[in-house]
Amino acid sequence: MEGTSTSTGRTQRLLPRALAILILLRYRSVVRRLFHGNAKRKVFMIVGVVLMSLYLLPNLIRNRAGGPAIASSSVELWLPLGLLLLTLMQLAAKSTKPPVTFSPAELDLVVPGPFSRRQLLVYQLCYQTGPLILMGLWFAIFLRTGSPFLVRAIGCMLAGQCLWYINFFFVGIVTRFAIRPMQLAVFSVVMLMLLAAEFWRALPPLNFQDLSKAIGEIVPALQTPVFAVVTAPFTAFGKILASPSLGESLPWVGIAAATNLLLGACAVAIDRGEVEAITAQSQEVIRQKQAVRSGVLIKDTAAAARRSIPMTPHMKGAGVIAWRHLLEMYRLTGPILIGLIFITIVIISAGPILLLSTSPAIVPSLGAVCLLMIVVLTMIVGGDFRGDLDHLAFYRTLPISPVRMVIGQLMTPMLLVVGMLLCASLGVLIGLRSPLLWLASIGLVVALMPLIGCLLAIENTVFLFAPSRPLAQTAGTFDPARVGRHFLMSIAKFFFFGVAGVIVGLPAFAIYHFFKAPIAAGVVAYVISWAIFAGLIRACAKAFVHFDVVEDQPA
Amino acid sequence: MPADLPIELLVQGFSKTYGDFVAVRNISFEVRGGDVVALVGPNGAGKTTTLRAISGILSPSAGKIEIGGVPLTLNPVEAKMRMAYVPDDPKLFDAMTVWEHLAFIAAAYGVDDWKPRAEQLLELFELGPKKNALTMELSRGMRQKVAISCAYLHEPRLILLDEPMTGLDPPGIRTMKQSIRQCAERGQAVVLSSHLLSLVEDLCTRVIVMTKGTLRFDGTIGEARAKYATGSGEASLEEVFFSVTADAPASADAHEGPA
Repeated sequence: MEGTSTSTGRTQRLLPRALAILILLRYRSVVRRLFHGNAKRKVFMIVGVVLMSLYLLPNLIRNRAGGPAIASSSVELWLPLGLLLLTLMQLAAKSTKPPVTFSPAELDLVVPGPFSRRQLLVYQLCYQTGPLILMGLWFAIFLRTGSPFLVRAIGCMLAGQCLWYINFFFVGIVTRFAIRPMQLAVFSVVMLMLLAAEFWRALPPLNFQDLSKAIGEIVPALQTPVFAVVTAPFTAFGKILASPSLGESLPWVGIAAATNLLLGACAVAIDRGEVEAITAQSQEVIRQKQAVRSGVLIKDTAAAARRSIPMTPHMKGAGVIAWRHLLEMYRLTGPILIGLIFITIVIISAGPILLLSTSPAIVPSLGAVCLLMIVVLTMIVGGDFRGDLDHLAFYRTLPISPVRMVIGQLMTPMLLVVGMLLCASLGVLIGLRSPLLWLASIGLVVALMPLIGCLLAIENTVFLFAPSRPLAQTAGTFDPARVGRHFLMSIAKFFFFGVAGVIVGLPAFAIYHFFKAPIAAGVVAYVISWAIFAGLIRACAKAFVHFDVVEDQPA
Repeated sequence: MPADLPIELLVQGFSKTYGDFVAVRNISFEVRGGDVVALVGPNGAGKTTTLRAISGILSPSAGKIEIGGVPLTLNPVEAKMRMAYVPDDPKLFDAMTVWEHLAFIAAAYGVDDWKPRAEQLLELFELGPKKNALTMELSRGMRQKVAISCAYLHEPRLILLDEPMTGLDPPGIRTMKQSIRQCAERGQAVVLSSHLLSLVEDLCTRVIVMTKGTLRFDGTIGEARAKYATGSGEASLEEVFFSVTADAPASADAHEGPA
């Protein structure tokens, strides 16, 4: 790519060789990273690839076999409209935020390098071509129009590129002409309102008794000259996806590519603060990622530091670990937010109970909701190993036995889940106005404590066996190993619960069946549940001991 | 070497492997109370791996590690009670204050009446004004100082320091050096890894040189200088370093035992 000449007379390329090589090396590193890792990761990768293949294969076969597809007229109408809507929404939502960020390595090595601002922009534009091609191929599998697969892939890729370049272009406009974000947001909202008014004006009286007919009657209202004008820049993309052959799509591909090239060229030409905007955005993203990684998102640090809780009893070290998590939780949320969360839980649970209080299915429904709450809460609640990945090495140096360490780690989430369930039980009291049922619901929470413990212990054991970071997927690449990990870990969890269910259920059922002693059966089941929980704590402790901070630490 | 003081650290035949890769191969050494031992070697020599294994973070693939006569693998809690480890990049709890870190360590190690000692450490490392600040607000050097204060709080018999001067300002480096000397005077054993050979020369009683996962020299600074003396007299530690770590094939006789 040749460009302007420098003062020394040397031709300055728009994309210097070094940056072009860097783009290729980055693509290679993405592929390399996918296949890099220990044996566990390789297994997850294979399982992930197999699962994705099983998901994609039927769609690919259907693509080859032909079959029902979206009508060309619909594609030509709705795609440009969709692109216009996305553009306006993009403007309203993040008008001043650049669509790309520099990685920490780029911030340190590329941005301060001997490259002009334009070269950096072109570098970013060119690098995104790879992901856009992949996106095009992905969408082409699922978006079945009358055009061949390759044409669909090209169309989707160009449409995605167009949206991306528009975003880039508006970042250029905003930084060049010092437009405030609110001005652009207002502009886009006004545009949306005007379009809605035009649609309303052109809309004929509809007969909603026949929905398909009513939808058909909407179409002319979207084909007025006003809509034709505003969607004109996107028409080519619709035409590509509606083309029955590659040959027929070529003129539209040319127009779409020229549109994108023009947008990209404009973005580069009007550049004034884009590189700075990208750099600032990159630094903010890095800061946020680090905050999420450490699990700490505190704005008012002084106020947060003032909040504290007294040290919990030692319990051979378990209490100390629990104290650290409880303190962090309290500090991150604060008393007001904690109060609001618990009040919300009471209200959310009381409302439906009040509405369904006369239903005969209320008690089994409450039980089912309670179980669902436990499963979901134990998966998402924090305050254990799952948010402490970076501190596992430190924990290993402490004079606390692995079992005590696990007990300490599980204490905070267990307290949280039990606390939330008890709040929900208050909803039972308010909704059903029955102290007896309220006491019964408290009893249910107590009875389910070993289950809560088991679920948390399993989540933590699985995490220590195959840890992952919350933001790992946003690193810019789709990682099939995460799909494989999730699948295998889910299978393991289900398998365990099957086995645990049999271990708990069989003796209890036998006692109930042969001795007709439901209370004894319940007590036996309860005792066995706690025993299983104790066993799981040992398993989790073993996973903690075998966790290798070098091999098992994900990036 | 203070031979009258007890052995605080015994490493015997320690190896650490990752698949086919050998990070540390069959190294043995011991450290007595009052010793300040430097682990030196080029990047990737296995220094951090060795320190992490001694601290209990990594499990040894082979060999024995004892802290004050307590086997680390058999009785880890008892062994860990006797030592402290400061990594090269300490990961503090971002949402906890400096003081709460000390409270946490005091509780974890069961230190009674820890507050006067904690105040003393905060003063020593000039952390007093930051006592109630969240550690997420601290600079790299200050975080390092917090980690060092935590390590000193329970007065361990063995202190492991991985690149302890990283991020410290000149007054911090001076304080750190003084504190290490005081630890040795009190009979505590200190093992530190560092690339700063002048620091090693200034502070350490013994030096262990590692390269490519093997132990290539273990002796006092004087012994190292005499052994690798050049024609112009005793070798500087820098010359010793380059002589020992020169790319020679690792062999059994390349390992010089403690003098």
